[in-house]
Amino acid sequence: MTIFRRLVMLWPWIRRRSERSLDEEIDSYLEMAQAEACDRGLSPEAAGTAARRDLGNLTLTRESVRSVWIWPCFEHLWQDIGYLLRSLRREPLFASIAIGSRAFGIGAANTVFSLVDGILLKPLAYVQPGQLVYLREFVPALSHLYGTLPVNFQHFRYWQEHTQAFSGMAAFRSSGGILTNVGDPIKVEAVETTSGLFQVLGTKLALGRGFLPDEDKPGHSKLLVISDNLWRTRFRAHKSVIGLNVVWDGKPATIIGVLPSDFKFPSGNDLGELSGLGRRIQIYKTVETPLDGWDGDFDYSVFARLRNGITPAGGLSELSVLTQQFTETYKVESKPSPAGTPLQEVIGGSVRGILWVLFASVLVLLLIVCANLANLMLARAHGRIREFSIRTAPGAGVTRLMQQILTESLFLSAAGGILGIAFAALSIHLLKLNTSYALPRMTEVNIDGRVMLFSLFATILCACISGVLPASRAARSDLAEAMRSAGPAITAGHRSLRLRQTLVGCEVALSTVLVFLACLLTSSLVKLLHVNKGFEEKRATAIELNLPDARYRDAQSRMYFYERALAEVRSLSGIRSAAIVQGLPLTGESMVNGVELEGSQADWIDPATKAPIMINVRFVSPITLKRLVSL
Amino acid sequence: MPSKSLSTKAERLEFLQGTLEMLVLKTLLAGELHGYGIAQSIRLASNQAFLIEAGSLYPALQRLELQGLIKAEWKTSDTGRRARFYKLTVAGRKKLAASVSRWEEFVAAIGLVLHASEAK
Repeated sequence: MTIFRRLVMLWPWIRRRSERSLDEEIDSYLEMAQAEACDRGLSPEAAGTAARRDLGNLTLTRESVRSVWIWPCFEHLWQDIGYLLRSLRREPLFASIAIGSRAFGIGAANTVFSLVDGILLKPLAYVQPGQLVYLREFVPALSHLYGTLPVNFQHFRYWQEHTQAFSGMAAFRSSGGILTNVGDPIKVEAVETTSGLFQVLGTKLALGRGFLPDEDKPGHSKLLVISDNLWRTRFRAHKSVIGLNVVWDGKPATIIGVLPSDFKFPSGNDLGELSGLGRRIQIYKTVETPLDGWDGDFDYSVFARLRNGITPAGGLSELSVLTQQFTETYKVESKPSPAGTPLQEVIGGSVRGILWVLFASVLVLLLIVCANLANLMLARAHGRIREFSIRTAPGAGVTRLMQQILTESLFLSAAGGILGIAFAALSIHLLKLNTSYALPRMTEVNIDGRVMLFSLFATILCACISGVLPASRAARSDLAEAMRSAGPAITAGHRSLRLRQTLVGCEVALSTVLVFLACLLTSSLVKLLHVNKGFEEKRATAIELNLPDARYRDAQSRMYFYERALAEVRSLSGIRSAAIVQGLPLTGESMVNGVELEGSQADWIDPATKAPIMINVRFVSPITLKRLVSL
Repeated sequence: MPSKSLSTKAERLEFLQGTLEMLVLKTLLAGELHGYGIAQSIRLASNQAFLIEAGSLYPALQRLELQGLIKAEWKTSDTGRRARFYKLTVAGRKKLAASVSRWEEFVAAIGLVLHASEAK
């Protein structure tokens, strides 16, 4: 009830009416007091004075009555903001520095926070993402090359059949190809997967269905589930796409489902070495006849979903036992052991460290900005001591002055915060445009509610740090003393000078840390740019080729194609040389194989470790190395 | 002059929270009255101990009015002046009864404590 009456008072019209009524009431009070004083025998003038004295401070009375009507802080806020706006118009330099530096500080913090939040903190966009584990294998003989490897298909099948701890598992690997029979042929990034992938991730298809358990068995016809993007661009979002027969990589296949538009699949960057996945998977198809060896061929990434109440460690220990079993049964020489990481940690894991460092540095930057502003506000507060003392004289409380300084600080920070959000939105937009940074989950990095909340927090922090010190100084400064010292020049007191010096000291210290950090990062970047790669990439160009298995069945037909293509490319004017390589230098991934020396039947053994020597293999046409270097 | 004794902050008799409101309600129990009349009435009744300044009286009246404990109306007084007259509402009467009994409990409890220390 009371609150309702107070809210009514927020209407200026009603409040003005009440104010008039109050003034009349006070007048009638004065009259009565004066009349009584006259009755006591005082002269009319003396009676008037006595009555006014009796009444007390009129302004204060009005103020306190108004504070009953509406929350005083509310009214003061408007007063202060109005005053600040007027004074900022007079001091555009102060205004632009105060708001601009806050916008910069908060904007930088916002940008990095939205990265940290989108990449590391937000739960993955799958059902109960905490249950998802990314499985790989550890192979001692290859540990000097790769910490962990993808999973051998037979090992995966063994785990899948015997596991109790996991409710589902799916193995998949990269499989690019060409989609024909629907308009122009297009090259599409794809994965081939076992049936359970969408059940494990908990994805409900937008159209059609996912793969059924038996559909990934050898001999079953090929089935495709396509991405929302492919469905819209290539099939014009037609519902009749379900059941459509297309040609995928030279072989007939049937589309059975369309994924929802918000479905996200991790890219190769996220899943670590040798996963070989593309960045934008458009087609998911049932797995091709996988190699059936129990050793080597560590080709498949595995996602698994833990049953309720089972920890990743618990699930992994069960897999260790299973691995032990098949290693003995099938005499697996590589002696693998399973390795598992919660999917949430896998994705973004490669950039985790650097993102947190970046986040810490922008927070330090924000602190510097705040300290700087506190200093600026302190200097400004000194210029205003006379103003404050004049206002204190008719009865303004110190708390009221402190409130004003804090309001100003909050208002400036809020303005900075709003600009900061715009700043962050712009920089995130630019980051997204430049895909070469290859940050994972970039599509999930957005200026959303969480980022807004963070920037609200940053704004308030900024306002507090840059406002509290000047406000407390204003409260403690000797205003009467300031009044007495005539002239506009009131020099800063000793104490406040020391305070400002301390602030500057802190700023310098923090800035030094930041400068060192920036120098270290820049120097490693510069080093990276000047590493001798052993080849010159200027004036070189690359074309990706993908021969469908169905049309180029044997090595001979492939060889024939490549040789002809090379000869024709070389004959083009302007081409100095051409070569074929399995993967471009510094990109992609290659096979890891043991080597046999000529005349020997067994693997080449390292005399020191007694382990087979494993090497990376990449096929090139004879000309590559020589030409690449001299290009 | 009694107002002189109140000129410095330290000497001012501070009211406990809500006490002034209770006194105002009690004063209005006798009948409707304007602001000046309430202040004078309290002064006389307290034998000049409580000098209510407009600065505390009017906010208190506004608070009571907002809470619906009193009602106000512009009227002409018997001396012919226009004044805003305040009147107790039903809720105001109930509130007064509650405040008085709480106040008496409070005083009684303080009395007990003081007597206990005397008995020792």
